[in-house]
Amino acid sequence: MSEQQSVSKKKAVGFAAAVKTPMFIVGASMVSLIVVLCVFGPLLLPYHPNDIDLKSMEAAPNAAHWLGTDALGRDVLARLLDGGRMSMLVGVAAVFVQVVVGTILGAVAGYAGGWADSFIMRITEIFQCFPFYPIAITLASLLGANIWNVVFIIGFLGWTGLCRLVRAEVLSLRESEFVLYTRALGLPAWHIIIKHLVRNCYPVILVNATLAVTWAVLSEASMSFLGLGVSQPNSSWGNMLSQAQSLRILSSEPWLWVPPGAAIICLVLSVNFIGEALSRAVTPNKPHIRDIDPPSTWKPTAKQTDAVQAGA
Amino acid sequence: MSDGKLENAETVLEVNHLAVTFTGKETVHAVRDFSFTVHKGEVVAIVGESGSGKSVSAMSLLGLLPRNAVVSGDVKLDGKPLDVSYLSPEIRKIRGRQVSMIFQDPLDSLDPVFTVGEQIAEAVRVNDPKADKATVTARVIDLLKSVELPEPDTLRRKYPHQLSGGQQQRILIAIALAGRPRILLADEPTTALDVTVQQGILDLLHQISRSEGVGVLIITHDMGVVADIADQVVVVRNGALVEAGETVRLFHYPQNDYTRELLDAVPKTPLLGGSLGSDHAAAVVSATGATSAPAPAASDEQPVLKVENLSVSYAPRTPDVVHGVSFDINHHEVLALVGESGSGKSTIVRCVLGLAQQTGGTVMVDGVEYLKQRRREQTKTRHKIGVIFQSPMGSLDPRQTLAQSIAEPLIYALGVPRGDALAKAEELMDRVHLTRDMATRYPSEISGGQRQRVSIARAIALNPELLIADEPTSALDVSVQKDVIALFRELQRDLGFACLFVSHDLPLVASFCHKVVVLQHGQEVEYGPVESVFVHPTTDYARKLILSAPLADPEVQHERRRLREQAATA
Repeated sequence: MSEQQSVSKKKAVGFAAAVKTPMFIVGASMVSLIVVLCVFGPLLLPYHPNDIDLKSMEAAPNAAHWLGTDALGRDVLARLLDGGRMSMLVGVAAVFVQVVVGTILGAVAGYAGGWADSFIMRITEIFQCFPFYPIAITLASLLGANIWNVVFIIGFLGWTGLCRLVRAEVLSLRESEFVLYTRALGLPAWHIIIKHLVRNCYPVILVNATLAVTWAVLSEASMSFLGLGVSQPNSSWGNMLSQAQSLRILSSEPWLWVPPGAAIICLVLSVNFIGEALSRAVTPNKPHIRDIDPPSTWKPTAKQTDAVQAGA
Repeated sequence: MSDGKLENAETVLEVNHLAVTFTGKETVHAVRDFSFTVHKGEVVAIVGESGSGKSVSAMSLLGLLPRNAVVSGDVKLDGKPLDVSYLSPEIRKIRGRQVSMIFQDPLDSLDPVFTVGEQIAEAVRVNDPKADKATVTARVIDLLKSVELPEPDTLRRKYPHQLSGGQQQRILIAIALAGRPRILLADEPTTALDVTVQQGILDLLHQISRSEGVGVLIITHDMGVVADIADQVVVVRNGALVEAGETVRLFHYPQNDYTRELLDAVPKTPLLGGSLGSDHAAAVVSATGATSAPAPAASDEQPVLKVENLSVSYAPRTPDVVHGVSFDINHHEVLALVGESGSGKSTIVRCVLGLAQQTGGTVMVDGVEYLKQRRREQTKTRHKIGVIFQSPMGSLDPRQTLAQSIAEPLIYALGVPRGDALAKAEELMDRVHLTRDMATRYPSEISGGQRQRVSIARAIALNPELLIADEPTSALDVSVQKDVIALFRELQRDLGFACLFVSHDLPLVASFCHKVVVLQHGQEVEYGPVESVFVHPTTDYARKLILSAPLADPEVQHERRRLREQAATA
């Protein structure tokens, strides 16, 4: 009984425990800092991201323009913060598309089985066997380069991984007795899928979606860098970087490409920290087997003995 | 019977004040101040419920626990002190040599890519690195013979999956014996096996302890197993010793309240104990003369569940796994489906629930063949059936609170408004003796017995006429099982539902059910009232099944063993 309770305590904590890990705290605070800066920063700046200052073009960072200006005399800081909104919007929206499509198809494939499962799985294989960029570039050139097309392309090409994970989870869940019970009761399939199966997949979905945000942000940046994503005059971190395609800017005007590059790195790293912290919380962490450890660890440590004595 | 011999036998293992603590985020004292002694040629049983620390204490002797376990205590093996406080060189030396261990799940313990002969040879070579190939093979065959396996020379070339569970466990015992151990630790060695196979393994362990002079330490939760094989019993609870003593004494005069509780929790079965065990001849005679008596309930009443000539397969176009099974259940009646694993018990349940492919025969609930009805009427009939499944963890959705789980059938099957359904759920929780403050908890926050009560509350929510219970207590400890069965009985008396009770636990069935169907390989071997089937079984299989269910009575078990040995030599 007492053991039961201690086990359950650990389980109930789950994600709540992840929130307290240093990794999660660092990641979450950096993400919130970036979000706050990008959302409220532009309101405080005197410049609109598209304002052209003809008197200072390609100016190095100075008191008026903290991060300098670009070739058209636009303020880099204003564009950086505005571009951040765009990058994050694309990242989150694309992942939303992925989660919706991936979860629905994965749950249906896993629950229905048979030809529906084969059909959906063959589709995911078709998506997965083509490399991302060639298809993304083709689609972008067919549909035109704008923000919603980027969201669509990244969402449309990226749902397969989540779909397979959800399917695998549902395959094992559908054999569990609480699902058998609802089937025996004669409840409709949609009820079972939504109320029982998808709800129980949420750790998988959450961890996967968090990590997918970083992939979506990077994909948006790459596409915009190639000129196929968010297009001028709108700013995004990717299309700000595209200026670094010129060797002159790359070598002599670092203020044009370091800030968006650094911003991408910070965002991706911190979101990854969150995702990693969450995924560690859901994967069981087993203590080492003594035999394969170095002999120095075979004896209990002083800390352990203290803990035993304190508890006794 | 052999107690006299053991009085002056030498001590093989002496454990004093053993303590195991798991450190980490929270400190857990799994074992504290645990002492016992094993003599040469003696079987000692450590018995306790789950979480009592019985497996942990055995594993701590071999240094098999993970790094966060801190072990202390005085252990003497063959009179020599053994330092168990860390992974000492002595511990590494005794593993597989002086002390061997076998585990619960035999298929899990064998490597699937090597033949069993190679795996035994590996153990032989570890103990005798210089042995040449012929010597090793000879020794492997000897070992296979000593665990009473037929045709050792062909058997050793087989892979684990080609053997039955009982044979696999014998292979593991052979591996354990390869190092000529002084002591054999057996952690629930028969729990994963069927009763008829279990008896063979227990006989083998008993025989090994006597003939090879190995001390056997068997860890179990089953009082029947203890009564069958143990010379000495050690009862543990929450990691501490409760009572220790000689088996017959302990069963008849338990000193401690907890021991008494454990023994009381075992279903009492006057039906199974006497006639078959002590009077083997009577059973044989009855085989010719017995008749299946009619059902005890009123006969002109329409049965709640009538199954006729039922055949089932797992999926369309696959061979049948259940062949022509017939039975019926009336109001207030409990019918048990018994049989070994693979006999088709759960498949029949699934078919009655419409979850498996019915290939022949009829299933009638309240006189209607509901599975052939259209969806809407079918759903109405489904609401007359309540279901309880085996696994206390798996049968509740981990993301629903207890009240939500119980209210689900009310809301979605009857269309009761949410608020009313949740209120009704709380009433049902009273009904199954759970406190109302648990309503908002999740399944992971309560114990196995409590979860099973929630399942029962959910099953009776729709006031079913038929309750189907698929091994509802087999994952529970005996004392918890006793309470759950008591609750079950109470509800059945009050609500009067007919019940289809699936179980492999014959003493439980004998104490609780009215009629019984004995199944073997999907065939109905025997069907009738419990009294007539259990006292006068008409088929060899039913008799074997009934005799191999170990009873928590050392005298009956000793008598049965004597008769078996007699039969073997004769």
